[in-house]
Amino acid sequence: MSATSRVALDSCVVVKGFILNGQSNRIFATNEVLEIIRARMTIKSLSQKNCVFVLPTLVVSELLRKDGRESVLTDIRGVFLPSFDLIAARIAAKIYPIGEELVEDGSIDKKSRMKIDVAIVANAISSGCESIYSTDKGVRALASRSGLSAPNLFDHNEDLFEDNELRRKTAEEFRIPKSEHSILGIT
Amino acid sequence: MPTRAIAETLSALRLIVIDPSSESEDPADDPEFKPGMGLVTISGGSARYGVYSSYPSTVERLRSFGILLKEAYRANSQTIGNMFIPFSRLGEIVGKIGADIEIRFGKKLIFSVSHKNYEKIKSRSTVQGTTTISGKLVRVGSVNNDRCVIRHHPSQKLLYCSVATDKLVDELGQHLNRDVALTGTATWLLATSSITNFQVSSVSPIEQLTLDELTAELRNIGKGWNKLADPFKELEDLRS
Repeated sequence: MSATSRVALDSCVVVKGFILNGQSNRIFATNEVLEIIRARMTIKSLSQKNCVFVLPTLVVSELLRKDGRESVLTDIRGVFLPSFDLIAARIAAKIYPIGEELVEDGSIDKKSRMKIDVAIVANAISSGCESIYSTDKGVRALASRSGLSAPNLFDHNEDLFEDNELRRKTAEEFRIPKSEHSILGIT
Repeated sequence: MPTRAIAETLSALRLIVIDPSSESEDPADDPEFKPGMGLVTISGGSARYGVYSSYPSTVERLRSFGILLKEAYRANSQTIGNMFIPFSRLGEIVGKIGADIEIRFGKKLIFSVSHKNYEKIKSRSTVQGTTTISGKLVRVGSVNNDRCVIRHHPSQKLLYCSVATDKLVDELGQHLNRDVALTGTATWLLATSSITNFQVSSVSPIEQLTLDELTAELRNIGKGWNKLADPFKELEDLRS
């Protein structure tokens, strides 16, 4: 990846990797924390590669849906918020039949969901992203069939020390009992 | 015809003769193609200039361009493709000097660019809309202080943008050599979905934040997610 690579993030990755924290109202299950760890690890690795994170317009809307702070949007820093412009609309129309095929073969469960996935992937393509990160299989299938790379979240960090530190800190933050640390891969 | 218009015409012709897709925004001098231009005659309200070129396929390529122009004028909007870029430059010169440009080989007309064919082909080949683009801002200001140049992200090509006000030029100057998001009106070439023209209306930097800073920014936007009883279930149901 070049120094200015653009990487789109789906809502699930932003919520799990950036937003959820130990002060959440929820007591998270160990397998949920494992997903948070994977999202955080992915974001950390991409950030170390100086990638610019891109939030498609509909992702921003989904983030704001849960009592979001619209006021901060006026001066948000550190990410690129692309417009859903005419070119994005054109790409969406072009990849829509792929979405329909994925609904038919069951990769995407509902047509209504597919329409949103199509808009998000089109927005990522039109803004010049090389890849999109999502935990949603449907989004990943649609993206890869539309020519956009859609890798899985990372399972581990190449740097074993960093990997262990991130796992340990996250486990402590979410108050996971030590007896379950091995499930999270903490050594 | 002003000297500047002559130079711009030669530059547009160069784009037709060499491959315009490789140097669509800022043509480097091709050593094979060194055209020259000299005034031959002035008569009946028109000026005729002689052009010479050492590039072997010059006339052939200009002829192909002429055929393309005819097709684009008659019917299919997509046929002109990347050649819209030099054509639009010639069209802009026509607008500035208030006269048609005719390219002839001997006495035979190869093609002409007029206000009429420029406007017609332009309206068929391009579409305008508001958007935000990103890339590294590499130059700000010009002789008229009304331009900036961005290394536009997806293509990594230089994109020359117009800037409406001096105030905005000053603001752009503060972000020179940085990654920025420019919002404004784009003209896209339908055939390639590439931007041929961009009028900047605002600029915002894409700052390189530390991961902790970025996390704080995004947590602010999605604050409500931490208050939910079951955010994982909400994520699953989000698009249902």
